Amino acid sequence: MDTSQRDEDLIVSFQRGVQTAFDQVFKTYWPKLVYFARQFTTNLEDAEDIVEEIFTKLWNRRSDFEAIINVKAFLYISTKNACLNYVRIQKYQPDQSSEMIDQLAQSEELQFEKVKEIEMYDFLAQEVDKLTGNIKLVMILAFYHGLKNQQIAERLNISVGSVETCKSRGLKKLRDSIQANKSRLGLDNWLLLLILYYMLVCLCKWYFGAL
Amino acid sequence: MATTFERLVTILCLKQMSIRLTKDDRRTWDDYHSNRRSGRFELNESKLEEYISIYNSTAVALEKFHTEHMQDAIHEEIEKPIQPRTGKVWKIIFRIAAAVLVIAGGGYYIYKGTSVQKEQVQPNQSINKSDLQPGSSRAILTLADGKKVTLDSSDSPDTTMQGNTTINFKQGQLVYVTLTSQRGSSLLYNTVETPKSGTYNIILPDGTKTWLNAASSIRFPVAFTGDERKVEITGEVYFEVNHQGSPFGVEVNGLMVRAFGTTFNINAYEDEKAIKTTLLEGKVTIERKNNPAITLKEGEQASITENANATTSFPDTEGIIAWKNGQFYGEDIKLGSLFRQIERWYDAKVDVQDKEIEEWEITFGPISRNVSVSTIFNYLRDAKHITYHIEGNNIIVKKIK
Repeated sequence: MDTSQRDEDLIVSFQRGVQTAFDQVFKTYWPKLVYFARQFTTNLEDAEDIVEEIFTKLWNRRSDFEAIINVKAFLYISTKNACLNYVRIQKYQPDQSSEMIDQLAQSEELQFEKVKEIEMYDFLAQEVDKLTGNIKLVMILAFYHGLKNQQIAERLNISVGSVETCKSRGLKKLRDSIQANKSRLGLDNWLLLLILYYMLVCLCKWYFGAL
Repeated sequence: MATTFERLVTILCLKQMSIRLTKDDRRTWDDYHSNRRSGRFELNESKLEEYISIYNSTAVALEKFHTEHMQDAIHEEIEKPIQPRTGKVWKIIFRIAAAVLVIAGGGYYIYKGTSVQKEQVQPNQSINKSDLQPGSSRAILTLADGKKVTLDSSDSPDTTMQGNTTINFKQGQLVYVTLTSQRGSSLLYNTVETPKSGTYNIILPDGTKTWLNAASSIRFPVAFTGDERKVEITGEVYFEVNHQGSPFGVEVNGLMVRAFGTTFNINAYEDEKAIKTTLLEGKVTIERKNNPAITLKEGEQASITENANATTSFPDTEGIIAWKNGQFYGEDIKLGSLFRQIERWYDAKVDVQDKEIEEWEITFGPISRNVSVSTIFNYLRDAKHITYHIEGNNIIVKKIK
């Protein structure tokens, strides 16, 4: 709602070099960028090194950014470029990067798909965080911990039926959130239909006891 | 000239902020998507459940530990005079500058005011004004930042957060579920304390179930670290430890009770002569300073006094955990011991005028704890020829001469 005002305040503080503003950007983007970089490096340390340098660069150029959008775009774009450099250099090492990484390095579309994926993941994680009560606990235990319905029921001292209800209500809320935000998530209608279709398939499989 | 990636990322950012696209941008976006219809990059995206799992297992775990660590490393790097970069800067450890505690916004508020003790009406007894009512589900939760929340079973359900851990309050029970394990120095601890005549049930972030008797407490991290699960208790606590996970340890009065996927009860009241640890199922070892560790077998109880003397026995376990099942029960227990249980559960003082009564033995119960104190004493009066009367919070007990 008030995102634009908040972002404006944020970029102003950010340009001025206010530490908390930088920290906020850092907290928001560090995990996403490391996850992105890791698609190229596979190992965590190198991914973190790459992203750490990006943030240092970001800090040094802080006064150049007029809007948070530019910061976001800068972060993804520079990370991507740094990753491509990394992959190029790695080519000369004996322990080799896989074919998937090569494919990724060569296709701008694939790279962009990754970005969209990551933003989607982040959005879902935030939406799960907004849930409350048993629905939230069940969603966390099911999808973050990978527990089966019976295990969740034991863990929370509720019936398996309650677990199933919570899951379906939780998924419904997430679907509704995606629907409400589909433009912001960069989803085109046809892709959304595809997602809804697959979600319904998953739900059906689950109602018929496949899980 | 911007590359495809650069343009698309920029357009995505504009879309995220619901900013209207220019004609050019819209064209780029539509062109890109119509090209995509060839179906090359589909499927991973469409399975919602996988999505959530994937993000959490990497990114959130990254965030909790590395973010603080990285932030400091970067701040240090920024404050350094400019030099050619030499190596793995991030290995530099730095004091954590920013506040560590995360306190969420909406959904969390302190319950203020009175916690009403439930009045229990016994159908076949008149409500005696001077009678004492039994305990109920009540406790005080102290959060990581020191704020206290009064818990009462009549409160409506609520959800709050401590760091990456979600806490659910509901009907006499606290449930902790965490997204990931905490690591590093920023462990957040919560404490739950029951007053006299209180009892509470907590499911810890690893799934271990605990029951607190009256006048007891447990202190635990809101998310366990990878290497061990450690909690501290006072009073009397019953555990059903989740067998999956690192070794589970309970610190109590200088002892360390280590559990391996197991069910046990620890009674460590200060006014009892010894700390009694009873193993019901699984395996437990008790470590004392300067003394060999004791390993218990199922059904065995270790009784450790202040000077670290230990004796073991095989008591009647039903009696020991009766409280957890909402009952008083004991085979051949001393009346004195029963009186102390009554004191804690009814928040009373039992004033025994003829001291030898405390040494008498009785087989008592099982009887529900959820009765007024006169029910208990009427039974004792008939069974043991003692008489009693209640003055305020005192129960005065005498032999029938």
